[in-house]
Amino acid sequence: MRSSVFTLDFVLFPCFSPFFVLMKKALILSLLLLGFWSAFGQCDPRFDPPKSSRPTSYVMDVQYDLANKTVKSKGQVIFKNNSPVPVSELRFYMYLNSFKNMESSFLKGSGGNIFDQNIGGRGEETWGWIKVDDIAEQNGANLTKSMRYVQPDDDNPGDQSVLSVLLQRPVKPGETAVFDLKFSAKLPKTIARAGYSKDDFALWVHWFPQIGVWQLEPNGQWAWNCHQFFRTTEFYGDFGNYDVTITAPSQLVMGASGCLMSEEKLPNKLTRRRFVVEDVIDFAWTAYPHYKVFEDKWQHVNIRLLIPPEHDMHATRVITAIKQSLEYMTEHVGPYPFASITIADPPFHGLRSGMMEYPTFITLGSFWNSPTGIRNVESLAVHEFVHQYFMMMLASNEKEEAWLDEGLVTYYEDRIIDHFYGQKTGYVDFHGYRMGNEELSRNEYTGMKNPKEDYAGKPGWTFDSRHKGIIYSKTATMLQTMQAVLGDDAMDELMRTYFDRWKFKHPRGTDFFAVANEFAAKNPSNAFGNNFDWLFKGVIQGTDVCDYAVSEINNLENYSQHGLFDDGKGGMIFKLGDTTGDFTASVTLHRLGELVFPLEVEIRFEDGTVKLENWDGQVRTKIFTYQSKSKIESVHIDPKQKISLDIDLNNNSMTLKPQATVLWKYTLKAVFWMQNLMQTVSFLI
Amino acid sequence: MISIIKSAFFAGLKHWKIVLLIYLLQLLLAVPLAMQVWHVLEASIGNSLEINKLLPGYDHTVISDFLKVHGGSITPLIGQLRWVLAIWALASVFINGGLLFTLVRRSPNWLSFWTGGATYFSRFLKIALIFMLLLLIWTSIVLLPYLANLQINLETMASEKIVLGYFAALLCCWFLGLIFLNNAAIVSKTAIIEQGLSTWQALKKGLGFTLRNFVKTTSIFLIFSALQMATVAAYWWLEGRSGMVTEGLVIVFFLVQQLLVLMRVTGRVMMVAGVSECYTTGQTVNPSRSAAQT
Repeated sequence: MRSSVFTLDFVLFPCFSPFFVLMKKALILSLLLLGFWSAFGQCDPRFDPPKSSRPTSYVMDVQYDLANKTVKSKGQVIFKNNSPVPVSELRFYMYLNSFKNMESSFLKGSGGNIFDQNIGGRGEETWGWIKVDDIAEQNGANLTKSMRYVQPDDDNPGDQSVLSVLLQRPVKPGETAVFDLKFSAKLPKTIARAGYSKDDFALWVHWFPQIGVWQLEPNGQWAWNCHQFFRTTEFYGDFGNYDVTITAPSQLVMGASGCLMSEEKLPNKLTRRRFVVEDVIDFAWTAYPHYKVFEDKWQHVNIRLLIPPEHDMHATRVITAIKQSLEYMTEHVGPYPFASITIADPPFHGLRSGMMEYPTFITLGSFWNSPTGIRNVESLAVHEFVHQYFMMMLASNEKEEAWLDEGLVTYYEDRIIDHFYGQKTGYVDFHGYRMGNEELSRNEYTGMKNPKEDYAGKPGWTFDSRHKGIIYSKTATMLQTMQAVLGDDAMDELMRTYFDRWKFKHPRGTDFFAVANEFAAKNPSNAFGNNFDWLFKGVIQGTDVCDYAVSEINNLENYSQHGLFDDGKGGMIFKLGDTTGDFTASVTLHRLGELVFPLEVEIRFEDGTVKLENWDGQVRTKIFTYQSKSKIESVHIDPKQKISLDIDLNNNSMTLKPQATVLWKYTLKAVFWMQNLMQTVSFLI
Repeated sequence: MISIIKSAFFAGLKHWKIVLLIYLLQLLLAVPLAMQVWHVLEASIGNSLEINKLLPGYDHTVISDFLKVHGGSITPLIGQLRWVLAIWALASVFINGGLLFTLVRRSPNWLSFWTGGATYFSRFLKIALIFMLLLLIWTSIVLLPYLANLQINLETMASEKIVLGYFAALLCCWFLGLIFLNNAAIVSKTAIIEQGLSTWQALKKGLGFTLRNFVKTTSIFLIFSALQMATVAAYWWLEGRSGMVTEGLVIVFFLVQQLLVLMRVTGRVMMVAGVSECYTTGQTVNPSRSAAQT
């Protein structure tokens, strides 16, 4: 059942017969309507027709108890069974219970120290929880007694992050069921993401009993995909509409997913705000009395930035970055259909709640007076915004296949930042220290102590937190490589196809692979061949690395006949030869890694001749040999550095003579800095 | 005050031979280590075309790939650098003995320098160790409580601005203490040479005098440090404008660097001369104290 509250009912119905009365009322209402749209930034969250199949929707009326950081909510949850099988159980994420005690799977084994915080000594008021107070089928049975916590992933009986509710009457295929739901929740003092901190700052995320995803699993069975909460996993929800009314103290500045539809002052210094958003997979909100609000607009999108006063110097930077992202993603991937994007920058004491993505609502993590030459503010804003595409519209499973959203998001973050701020200066351009975002991502992967330690394509809860480089950066570097080899337009076409086909659905990694392979099959002339399976198998589902290297340049002088030769009469004759001035010149190349790429090899001779060879990159050792009048001066594998997956680009080239000027530069600099160090050491002596 | 600054300035120029000696000694210690830097770079990426990207400036990919693959070759050099600094520290004790002796005796010649260095080496070493201990104590008092509670502060303060403000204030405070200890060390050593006091008496005298004349001694320090900082800033500006980007500029900038080092050494000699002079003149112009001392 689809509730009428999801649409904005501003249709005017004639109430009185006299024509002028009708006109007058219509005029007044139109003016009121205009005023309303204007006051709330003309934010229209409705999609007609719907963008998604909307299996799960919520209506919530929430009372916020600021002093205790608790909420009480009553409302409805609507579940539409889009599958061909009946559903006899509902599963809910109850993630705030992960912060209820240290027996939760999120906190267990942390030794009381998590994300550099000592939680062992935390008092009673700092823990969080969520409980369903009452759940009942609308006009039907009460289901509260059938609730139980389940632990589908680790069988930890102390974990209460997933709730199962058995239904008395299964929801038939195609049927929509409405449940009355009352729940209470308390925020923890921030450990990660959801939480409160000083001065009534609060970030309410994964704060309500959220239905998991009823989906067809790879084993061919329909089942709930509703995993427990772990330290290394994020979220996965289904599409639907949210109509959330929050009654909270008036002094709070609030931001939330979707559009602010109404704001009503109540007695006792309370304000009731109603937020509506459609076709999203989650709903999050924040409240803080000290937020400064900056508003802007990009085409149809209302940009609303909530930022603490001490960070307001970053407001322009953030809004510019969001506009750049909107522009770039619209042009290269697809349109952003939502009417709003809200950005919340937590104060520093609430930083641990930041740097996350929620539907039409993202959180940052900036610092007072961050230099403009260091674009951490911009790159974070871009990263979290791009999640509106990969994670939100293309709602892949962040728990099971984190690479599919984080990797793709990092790839576009790199593209956007480097596009607008410079290829080698995108991320840092500060007093001579320069770094592009793309470089940063590549080095995050290649700089790992052991890039073969793990692989990206496995469930998030089985990851060690040190392997961020694999999930985010190895994937992004693979996509950079694909783009460089295929070309920008071809890559854009591939990604647009993936977006168009899977938006407002739940793609898996295999779906991305299928689109890419389809593209490869249509363009067999591309350097990767007819499909990308070998690449995905090696990079995403395997630990393969790429490393090509030059080991030798050889220039051997040719001699004219020299030595003993048969004279044709049974004897021998000695010939005294000499160098001919020609060379047998060769270069020796190696494939040190497992990944195989077709490559270009550039060989330069001393006389200025340049030879460009194509190497399929297959054999472990490859020698190119030339008869030449001139010596080989240098050799460069992949001179345009298309293969950024190569873990050491320095060994891709070799010159006959060392690059003395650079060596002198750094040697003399070393002398200078050592002298300065000595001078400093003399201080107290 | 102006006369002390003037006198210190000229003392620095007058002691050019000692300045040159300090400079050459530093250069001699630095060059062998730097040549190893050359060899490590040459053997690792010296023949790679990528190294050319370091000529115009910093290149993150080249540096990262180098450190990842060849970072291990740099570690022994850092170990050696520690030893070089230790040797330099010992040499500095000797040099300071010689320098202060020539300053106090107003005889800027080699004989005085060597005599002073040799005579006071062990006592000045003791003084240096005591002042390093004092610095450790000062650092523990001023900075450690802050750093130990940094996380709690960040969580409980309304904004990181306040936390950073405190840190900046504490850093200024710590730095003033550092200047105080540096000046007290110079005064203590001067007192040993001038008045033949024992180490502990000299220490007491040094700390007492520097505390009483805190503004004056700190000003002398800051004036000559400002000179040194100005030369560093000038170098950065120059390198920012052009930098070592061609063979010719590599040579030009090396000469500029060495000139800068020479100026920094001169600046330090001037600062030592100034603080020492402040003490010696303070002793003679204060008749009551002079009488008490005699």
